[in-house]
Amino acid sequence: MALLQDDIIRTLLASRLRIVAAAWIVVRDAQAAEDIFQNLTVKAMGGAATFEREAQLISWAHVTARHEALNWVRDRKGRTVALDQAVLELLEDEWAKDRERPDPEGDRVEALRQCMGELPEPSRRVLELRYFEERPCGEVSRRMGIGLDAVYQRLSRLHRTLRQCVERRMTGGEPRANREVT
Amino acid sequence: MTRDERDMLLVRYLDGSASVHEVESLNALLKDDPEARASLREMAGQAVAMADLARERAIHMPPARTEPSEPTSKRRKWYGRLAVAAMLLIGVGLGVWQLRSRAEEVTVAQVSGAVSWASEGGQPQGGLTEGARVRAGTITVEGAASSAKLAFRDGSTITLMGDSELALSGDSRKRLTLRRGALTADVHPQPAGSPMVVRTPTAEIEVLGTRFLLLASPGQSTLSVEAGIVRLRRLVDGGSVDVTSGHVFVATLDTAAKLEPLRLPPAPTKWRQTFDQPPPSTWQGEWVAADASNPGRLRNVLDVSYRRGDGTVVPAHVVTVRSISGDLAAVQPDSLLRLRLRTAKRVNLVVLVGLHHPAGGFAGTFQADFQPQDLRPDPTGWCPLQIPMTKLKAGMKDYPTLPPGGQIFLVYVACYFPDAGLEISEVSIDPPPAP
Repeated sequence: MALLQDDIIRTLLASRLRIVAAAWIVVRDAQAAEDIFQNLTVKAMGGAATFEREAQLISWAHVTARHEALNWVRDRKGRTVALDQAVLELLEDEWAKDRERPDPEGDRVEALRQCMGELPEPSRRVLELRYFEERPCGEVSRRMGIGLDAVYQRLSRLHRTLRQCVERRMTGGEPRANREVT
Repeated sequence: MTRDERDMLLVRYLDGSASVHEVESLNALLKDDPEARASLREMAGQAVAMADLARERAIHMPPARTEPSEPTSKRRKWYGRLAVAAMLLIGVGLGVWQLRSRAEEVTVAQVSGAVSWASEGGQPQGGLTEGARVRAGTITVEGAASSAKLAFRDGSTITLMGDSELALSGDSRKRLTLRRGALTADVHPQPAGSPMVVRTPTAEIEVLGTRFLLLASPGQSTLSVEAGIVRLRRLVDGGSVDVTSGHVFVATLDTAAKLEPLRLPPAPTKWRQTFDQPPPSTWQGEWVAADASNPGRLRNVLDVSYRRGDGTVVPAHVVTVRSISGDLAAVQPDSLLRLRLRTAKRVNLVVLVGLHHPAGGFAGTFQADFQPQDLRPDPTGWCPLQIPMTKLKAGMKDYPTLPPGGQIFLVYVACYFPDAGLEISEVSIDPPPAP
């Protein structure tokens, strides 16, 4: 029996963060990635395809997000430097497996918020400039008065710190995100 | 490659700053290394989650606050809202997702002169640069020769030219307020039921996809439509009128004025202005009436040339002549701009013209610099200056060439020394001389 519309929307919303993230890796623009998710949701609800199982819907959503993201990049930026299709497919497979994790996406977002709140102000500011305000690293560098390589390094370490903090929170461990990342 | 090097490369890829060669290396790495893929997925997931947190903050805080505040204690409201709204969508069968809770992002595509930005409730920030992305707030253009081009995500563009102030709303629609000044807009087709809306002190217009020029002052708004249809609502009485391609309508506070657009006359190829009468208030220059030995003229006044990084102003001493409702004259590359001017001191001058495309839309500014020795006074002490359009150089990189048939809407003459005593008694635009 085909999934009903409320099943479709519930399934897509439960995987929204992963689908949007998959699109974001290609377009590297948060609002465009969000638009892609919204468009594919409208398509799915509008009967663009019939889905028998949730896994089938999620697979369709990831493939559709990838195609729409690549089209967006082609339309907006012409020739561009992008990841190989083979890499994107590997990532999609792994995201699909992530869906089997017991923790809802919303809990991970909440954990991330708490971990960010424990970061020292300069570290949080780097993240906010880059991801809340979506400023390129060059601008983050100028605004923070630090070198560009230092921004790359700080962001890469902050991502790792937050990942560890979120995992600890999701598994009930003690959060320890409150150290300066330099 | 160490873990640090790998993650920095991922950050650079996501920033868009990795080279082709580096992305090739990254592709090879990602194919073989599950941990690298996990890092990339984690970074992307965190980035999207942080964008959600930013949206949630925008919902709970006054819009467009760019400075961060402490996280709120309200949790998972965003997801709750999504779910509820999604169910509503199913219920009413809407085809368009209506959940974009934050203001649409606009890219500053081009800046010339003094252009500043203030987020809603924030202080003006000078030095707005090309590539900057803004949401809700006010963009201010200072100086007759300054301009700013804004690009929306759907490709629609708006160019502010000369002293202008435009507010972008905090909601997700294209809702703008032109408090004063001039803008040209090239608006791509908008979603049904969601037009771009531009409000001025005297009018509100709805745009579904068109090109137009809009001028706003406290008591008057002038809409010239170059393509498509724009619906204008006069704020004084709510009367509305559809302004079609090739027409102009002036909305004032006079309710007795007919709601009838007028056909735009074609721009002349020849135009001449002397200053025997006081000029319109939108021109810049102190009017000096004719006397026994001199014709009527405009004397330079101070204007903003640009702002330094610290916000201080670099002034210019200028005389400007601009069209009130459209364009002064259409020009070809070999048309001539003629000025009759004089200065009290030997100073360098800048002559700049602003153009619209013949089919509408901003076409850039073009300028020429003149040394004191270029000015040769006639027996009356006035200097005739004849400038072929071919001698003007592009002032903006996005508009490198003068479009044939382009229409001049602004003539700007400036010097940068105090007490230079620049005066202009005549401006004319003439077609190419007959062969």
